[in-house]
Amino acid sequence: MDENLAQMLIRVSGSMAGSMFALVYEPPRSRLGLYRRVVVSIPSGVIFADWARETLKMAETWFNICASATIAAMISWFAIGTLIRLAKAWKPPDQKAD
Amino acid sequence: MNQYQIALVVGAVLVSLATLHSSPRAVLWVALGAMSFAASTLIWRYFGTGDTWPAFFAGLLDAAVAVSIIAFHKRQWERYLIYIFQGMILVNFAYLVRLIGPHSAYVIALEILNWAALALIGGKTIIGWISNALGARGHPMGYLNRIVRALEKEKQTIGFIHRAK
Repeated sequence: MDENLAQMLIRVSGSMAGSMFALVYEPPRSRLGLYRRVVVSIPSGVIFADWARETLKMAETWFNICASATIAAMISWFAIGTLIRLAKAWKPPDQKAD
Repeated sequence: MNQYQIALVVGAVLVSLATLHSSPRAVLWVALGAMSFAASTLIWRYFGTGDTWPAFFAGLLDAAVAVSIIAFHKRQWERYLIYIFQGMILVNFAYLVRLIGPHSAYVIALEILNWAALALIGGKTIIGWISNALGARGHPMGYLNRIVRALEKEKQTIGFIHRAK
């Protein structure tokens, strides 16, 4: 198998694992919330896997790439949940009287 | 299989038999937990205990069980079961990053949580039996009935699996 494709598959599976771990600790309240978080966390896991691995000073092995994609996906899952909550809590000044 | 694993299997079978009539969903969770336990034991046997990364897959299996319970739970005691599975995933993570060790400490921590899950399900059933046998109201042991009612309290399933009405 092409090495780039294999690395991409590992990142995607790591991100999916990260989403599943995050789902256990912070389940969304609606199906829309689930879609939002999955759409954000899986690509984030793929994109930020290298950043997470370098930040944690992990060697470039297959398992470390998978683990760092998992960590990146989990962080983005919690981040998007916090952002959604903040967005819901914030109201424009003209609607504050409601 | 060692004696601890046999004891756990016997415990799981006894709890399943005890709860089969009162709450069949508990048997499903025990069966899923047992499958996760068996699969993670096989992974550890196959790859050996020299490295910590099989804990990642063990955590993944526990997470799969926890997601099923989160998606389909209906009662308060199932929420407590979710907390126990969250604890198991944390133990796997802690071992993965070498926060706990040696391997025996990890196994003991997971064993305690497995027994806690069985004790929750079995304990709920046994308290229910005692409470029914005593006839709850006005009895000095009436608090048992309150425990059962608290554990059996209906909880709204977290809605991501169902469409909002």
